[in-house]
Amino acid sequence: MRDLDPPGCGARPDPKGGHVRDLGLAREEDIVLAVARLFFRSFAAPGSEAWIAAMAAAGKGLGPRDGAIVAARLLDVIQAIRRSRRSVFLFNATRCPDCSALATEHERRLLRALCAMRRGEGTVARTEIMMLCEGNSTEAVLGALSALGRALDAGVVRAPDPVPRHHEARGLSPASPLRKPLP
Amino acid sequence: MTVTLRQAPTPDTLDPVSRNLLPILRHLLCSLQAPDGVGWQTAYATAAEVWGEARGLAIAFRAQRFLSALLRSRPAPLDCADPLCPDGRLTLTGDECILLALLAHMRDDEPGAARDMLAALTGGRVEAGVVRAGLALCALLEGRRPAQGRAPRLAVVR
Repeated sequence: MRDLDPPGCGARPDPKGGHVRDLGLAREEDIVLAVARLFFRSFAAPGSEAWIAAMAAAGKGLGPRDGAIVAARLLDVIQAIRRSRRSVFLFNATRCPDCSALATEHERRLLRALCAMRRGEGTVARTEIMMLCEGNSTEAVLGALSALGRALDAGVVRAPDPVPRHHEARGLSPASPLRKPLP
Repeated sequence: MTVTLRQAPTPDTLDPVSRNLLPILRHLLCSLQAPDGVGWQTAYATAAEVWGEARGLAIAFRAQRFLSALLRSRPAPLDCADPLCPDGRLTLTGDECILLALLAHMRDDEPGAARDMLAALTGGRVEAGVVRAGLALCALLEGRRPAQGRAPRLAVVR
């Protein structure tokens, strides 16, 4: 635990949280965190319509096709967590630059689990999710997290697309962040 | 401008693409016009079921952008049926008829008719952003008529 400077907006940072930069996230994982926060906001305040911003952020960061897939799978993860976890999930706002630079304990566990899953460290991922789900069932969350990891690794988005006609190219470009090799 | 439909279609009489698209549009419209709802999740899930994850989610995403742009260019909400109401599934509102006709004309590359339908939905305003979003959506959907002059699909048989 460390002392965190209070953000400029006056919000009190989660004492168990830390800086996002300390998580060592890849670019696409950073996008996942931003999109997740918008989904959280959409559930916490449905009138905010933050799901529109979430889908737009995913599409902007990962491309319209891959972004939609990643966003949908991330939504599956969040829904699984909501079904399993009993307590409130703390998240930071994306709109405040100071708050968004900090990760709450719950955000940190989620992102650590995702990173571990992508690296093939299933035990680490399982432990983080078990803590996040407060000892409740983790299977659905882990399954959804695995699917999200595969989408980020482009395992799914490289599948052939049966669209009969196109007015624009929709495939992954060679420079797409999803094709970056894992560290 | 007034657009008169010769006969009021029902969901059963729609072409397959429009029939699949209708519940997705309804769920999205309900969410966009009553933000407390969570129909957007159902819209995305339904689209993924109908067209597969890669294509279906892209369709839902573009449909949402199109509807958002359309609603911004309209002074009033679009009249749409509740997608979860059994009776609502058997009928189409006037706005839904025009909306589906607009998309059908866009899918068939009929710009004149599409412009008329869009004007009917927006009170005469034909905004470029709405047209762009509509075309982006329709680029992922088949037209009503089979395309002419397209080479047959070939597959390697081992």
